[in-house]
Amino acid sequence: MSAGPTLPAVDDAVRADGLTKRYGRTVALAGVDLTVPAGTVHGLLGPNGAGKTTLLRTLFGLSRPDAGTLTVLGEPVVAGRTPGGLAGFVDSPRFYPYLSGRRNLELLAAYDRRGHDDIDAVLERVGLAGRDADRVSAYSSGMRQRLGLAAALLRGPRLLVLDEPVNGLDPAGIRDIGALLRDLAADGGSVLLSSHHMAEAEALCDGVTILRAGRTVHAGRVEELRAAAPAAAHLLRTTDDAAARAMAERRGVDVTEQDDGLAVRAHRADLDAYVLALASDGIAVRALTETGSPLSQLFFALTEESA
Amino acid sequence: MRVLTAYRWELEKLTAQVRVRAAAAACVLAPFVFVAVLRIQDTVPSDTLFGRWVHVSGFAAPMVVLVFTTQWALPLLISLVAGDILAAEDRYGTWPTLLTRSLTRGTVYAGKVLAALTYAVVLVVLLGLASLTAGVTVLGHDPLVGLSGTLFSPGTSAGLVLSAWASVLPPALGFAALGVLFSAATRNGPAGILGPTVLGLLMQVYSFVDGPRAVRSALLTTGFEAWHGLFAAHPYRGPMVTAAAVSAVWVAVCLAAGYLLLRRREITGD
Repeated sequence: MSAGPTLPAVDDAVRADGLTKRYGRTVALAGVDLTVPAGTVHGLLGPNGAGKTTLLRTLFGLSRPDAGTLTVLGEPVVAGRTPGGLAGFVDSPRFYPYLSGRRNLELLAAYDRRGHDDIDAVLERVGLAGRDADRVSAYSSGMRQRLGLAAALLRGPRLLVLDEPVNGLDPAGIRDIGALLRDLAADGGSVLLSSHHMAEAEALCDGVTILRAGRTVHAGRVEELRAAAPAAAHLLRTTDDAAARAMAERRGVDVTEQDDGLAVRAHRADLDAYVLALASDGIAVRALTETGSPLSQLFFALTEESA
Repeated sequence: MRVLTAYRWELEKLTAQVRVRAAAAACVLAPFVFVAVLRIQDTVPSDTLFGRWVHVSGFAAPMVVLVFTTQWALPLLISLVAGDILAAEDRYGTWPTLLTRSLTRGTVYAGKVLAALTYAVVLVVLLGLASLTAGVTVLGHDPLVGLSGTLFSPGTSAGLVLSAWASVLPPALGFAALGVLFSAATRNGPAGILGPTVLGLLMQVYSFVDGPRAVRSALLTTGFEAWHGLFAAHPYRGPMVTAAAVSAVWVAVCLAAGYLLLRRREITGD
């Protein structure tokens, strides 16, 4: 792919300070701060209605903020004009269903004043090379998602912004997109992706910003988030749950009884020691299942606690 | 150059759509069907201008088609594209796809407007040429009797018919601009298509009312009758000039309002 427009090197690919957006009486963004360091994959997380899509629309200049400052690749964002070097999609990517995938890309290339030279390469890169002549109306949602990514890559972006990029993709597609995003970051590009799945962000991102009700409730590197996360929760079933519970209390392991077994909350080393102790006491472990990753629990704690 | 890029792709998008191609095909075929029916009928549409002469001269047929189509069909056919040209992006959800590229909203809008106006011109040209060809080939090319009883030679008749059809181009462009405005305001294809058509019918109804002449002159539909002066014994072109000026104002106002609506709009994906 040909390079995007020549822009100065920047420390932060995105910087938003106190970004506010209201739709009538509804506050979509209530002073959001966001920093995406250049050369990283950053996750924008939050439950439905947290303000993720509104923030992404503002980044693209599709929506005008009521207050706050926003720069993309070092340049202030002007409403009605997509910043140079930025590409991606907001909501699910949409195309003209009566045109082929390739024709749609040719149209978008023309709108970017680019030739068609890169189209084959991006189609190959997103795995649509054999289906580009089909009308988009015949595409599955996963194929449209791939076409959306192809349309973004066609712009040769320095910052790729993707709204729920793995929606509708099969596991192989999710793996491919993960690899592609990491390649892009390794080449010096930056990626901002929104998601409401913590596991997806944990797998793909270097850093995350978590929104709740239009406010930033956490921002930092994934490692920092992991360190702050509570102990993992597991469901334990043994041959003698009463004895297992008693032993947990003696060892200071957090255990509560449930209908289907014991809910155990412990860090990995403590859990391993507890399970070994159970075995040495003649209590067999019939099942030990993780019921929620530490990061997911932190995500829920951050996004569900009362405002 | 950028406007031309947007214009070219809007034309490509239009020609790829079945309903647009079907409308263009109907403009070519319908006059032949209409003229064939006139030929096999014993009666003539004598309550329509030139209707009584359709069995006498093939040049009367395109004039009857002109009168019929300008009553409601032409605004509807024009609005099929103009009334949907912006709303289609809402229907397909493609505004963010288009507006996150390098072209500005103004450029995208200009490309769409040019495409809608082009379609309106093509429609009028197709209808005019097809109805003239159908009239002459099916009903013959005998001289045409004008509105004040003057007999026009076949050559003069052909020129007058084409001039009459050309004279409806300005109000046709006015309806295209009105369609674009409805499309921008309603963001809904059916509303964008039916809005100008209904407004056109209301204008027609007003023309039957004994209202102020200035208001009547300011109506787009009045321009559809400006060609009458061409077929008088002493031709006059004043109404055509007025119609062109009125249509230009309609075009300018509607397109400016449509642009302001698009420029101020928040693209929310709703």
